[in-house]
Amino acid sequence: MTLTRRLYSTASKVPISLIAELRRQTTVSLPKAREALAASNLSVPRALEWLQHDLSSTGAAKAAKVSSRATNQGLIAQSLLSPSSALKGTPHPTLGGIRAALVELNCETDFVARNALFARLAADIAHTAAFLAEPGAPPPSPAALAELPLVPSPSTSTSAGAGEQQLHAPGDTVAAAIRATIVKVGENITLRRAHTVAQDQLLRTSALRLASYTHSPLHSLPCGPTSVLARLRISSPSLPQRWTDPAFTQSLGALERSIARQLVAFDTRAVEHNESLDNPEQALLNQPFITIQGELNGKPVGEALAEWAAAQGLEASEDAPRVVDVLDFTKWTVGEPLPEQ
Amino acid sequence: MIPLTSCRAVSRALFSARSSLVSACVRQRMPSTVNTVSKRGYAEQFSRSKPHMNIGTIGHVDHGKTTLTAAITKVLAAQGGAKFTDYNQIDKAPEEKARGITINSSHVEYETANRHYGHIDCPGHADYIKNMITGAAQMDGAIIVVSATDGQMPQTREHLLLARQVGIKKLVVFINKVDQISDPEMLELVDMEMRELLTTYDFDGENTPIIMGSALAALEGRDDERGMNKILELTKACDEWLDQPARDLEKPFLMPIEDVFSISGRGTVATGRVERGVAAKGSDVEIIGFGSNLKTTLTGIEMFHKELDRAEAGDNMGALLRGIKREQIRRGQVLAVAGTIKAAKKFKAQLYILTKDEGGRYTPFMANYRPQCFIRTADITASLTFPEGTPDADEKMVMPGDNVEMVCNLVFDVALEVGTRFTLREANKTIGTGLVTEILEYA
Repeated sequence: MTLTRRLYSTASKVPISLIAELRRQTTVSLPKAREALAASNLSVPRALEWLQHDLSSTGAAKAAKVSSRATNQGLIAQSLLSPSSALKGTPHPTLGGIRAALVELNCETDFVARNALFARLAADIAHTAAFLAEPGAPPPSPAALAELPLVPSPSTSTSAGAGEQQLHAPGDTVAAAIRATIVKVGENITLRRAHTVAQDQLLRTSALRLASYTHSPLHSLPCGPTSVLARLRISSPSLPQRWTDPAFTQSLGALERSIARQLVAFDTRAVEHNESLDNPEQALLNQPFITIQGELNGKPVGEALAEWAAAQGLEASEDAPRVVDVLDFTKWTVGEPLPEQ
Repeated sequence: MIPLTSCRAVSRALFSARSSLVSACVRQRMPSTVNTVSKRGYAEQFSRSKPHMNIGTIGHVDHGKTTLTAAITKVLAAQGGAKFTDYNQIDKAPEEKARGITINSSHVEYETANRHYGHIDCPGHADYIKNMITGAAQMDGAIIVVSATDGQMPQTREHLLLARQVGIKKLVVFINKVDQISDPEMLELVDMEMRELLTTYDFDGENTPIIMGSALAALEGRDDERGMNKILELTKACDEWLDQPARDLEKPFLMPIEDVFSISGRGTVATGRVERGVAAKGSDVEIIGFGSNLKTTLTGIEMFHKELDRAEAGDNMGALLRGIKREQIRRGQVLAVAGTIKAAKKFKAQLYILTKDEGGRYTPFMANYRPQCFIRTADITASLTFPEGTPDADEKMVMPGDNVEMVCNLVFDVALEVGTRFTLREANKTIGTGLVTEILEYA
């Protein structure tokens, strides 16, 4: 009580219009906005700086206060930095290999989960995970990811409402960015899990590809309640001839998006049937391909992939009998129970 | 356990015995079993003297929604308008609050001088939208709760969007915890920001009542100026500012046609259950739907083979229609007061698609999906597409469990208006429910 009184007595000089301005830019709470202005001689830019420093200390206190609350809502965010590896001997639109990440960020209510602030944070963390992923290394634990410096995604700075100032300074960690958002929305926020794909490959007749889908994405960002990331390999001796054909690229893109949607559409547990599955339709290759348009629609996915390859003039090579091979996939839904480690 | 009938016999016998005896000590010797039986829990009489309205609180988890609800019941209980419901009773057990439990609508109720309110708490956006579409709980008005210590928060936008989406036109704002703010200028700022935000989301920011008080003070019975009086001011604002939804009886007459008969010597009779309003013998009605727009007169109303002068919402009636041949009308059309409802073929609707656990589909569907649309008694094939301007509409899919806005294109026209509910079925299985949000094309 004494603390708050002291605050208000010094702060009575702060003009309301400045507080309103600072809140419009940062969405920090009222007393915090006033404190920041009082401490920085009523200059809004300096108050922003002050807030950045302050949030790292008071943010920790606020985060600790709410840390025991359950977080069952949230978003799965994905970042697709490089969806394809390059082919040796062809011009490189993307250098090196494939690179992407999936993260689950949780909060208490879906009101916050639907807020642009939260979605941008989730997208930024996914971008960070993808950006800093080491080829060959296992995905980082949430705790390890939280210690990394946040690398904001270019798409979040252009999305709607981005006029708001980000309160995390460049070089701040993911954890600090989460704390800053906790202070703004007043809810506990936790980073539950992260998955990364980073793999380099440069071959003459085989390419790695990533297929991704986010169901009902929010704020035009790749984050939503369900998201999937699948790793594909395309290999054929005639791949180099088709590789730069725009019609081929378009058809391949549509096929990949269909595969990703198909993984979400069904209760897909594996690519191929195995004993651990309850029913054969949990295996991708056995499912009727309902998400693809055109004449392949309804055929078993395995057959449809082979037919697509034949239609594209891609024959199988001896060491890779499947031209389009789905290697593995990661499908996450917000709040689902995690498999036992 | 004594069978109930014998208990009744005993109690009747005892009653007559008692009435013949004046002595009090005889009454004391009455067997105790009879006493417990006679106390069997009949609920109190519900009085319908005041119009009813469902009201909800929406706000951030820490801003005192539950305290406010408890405070309202406490303050109104003092006036005899409620039963005090304590914080713990409102804030249900944690396991009950876990996701998946639908809103416990109106387990808190209170009465003001003018109205009876059922109180709904809003657990989350998705849960609420689902309840709104399926008709499980309808919020007619809302109190937005904002703490003066924080001011509006980023998610206050989402709270207002929810209110918009469920069709609330007017709200009342309660700025809570004002006893923790000593500077009146700060409260002005909260007020100003709130009005600005209300206007942004198409509410009447200028005139919306904003009441500043302390729910906790009211609950603890201290500081009446900020506590009790403000709660009373809030309920008064709800009474005055929030519009009372029209009751079915007050709306214009509408009866969906279930069956049509031709009775020799009398004419054509359409039967159905009156959805709303009151029909009087001799009134003019229109027959709407399936391309027809016939005008006729109700020459007779029958119920259980007996004639009567008027039928009202909820009645199963037979309507004798002047000058109409049996072939001219059919099931799925409606009888309505002329000019009160129009037939439409294309509309926008908010849909909830049932999950497979709820008996719905296993797999998603895409644009141009064609389920059967059951609107009142009509059963019409509909084609579902995404609203114009939806990005990647031909690759978009709708999963079981989704809330989604779609455009429905009916094969035949049917009487429709904003707020009409319908179900979607496929192969004799209900796969979703919907609520009309906008008519795009009248027949």
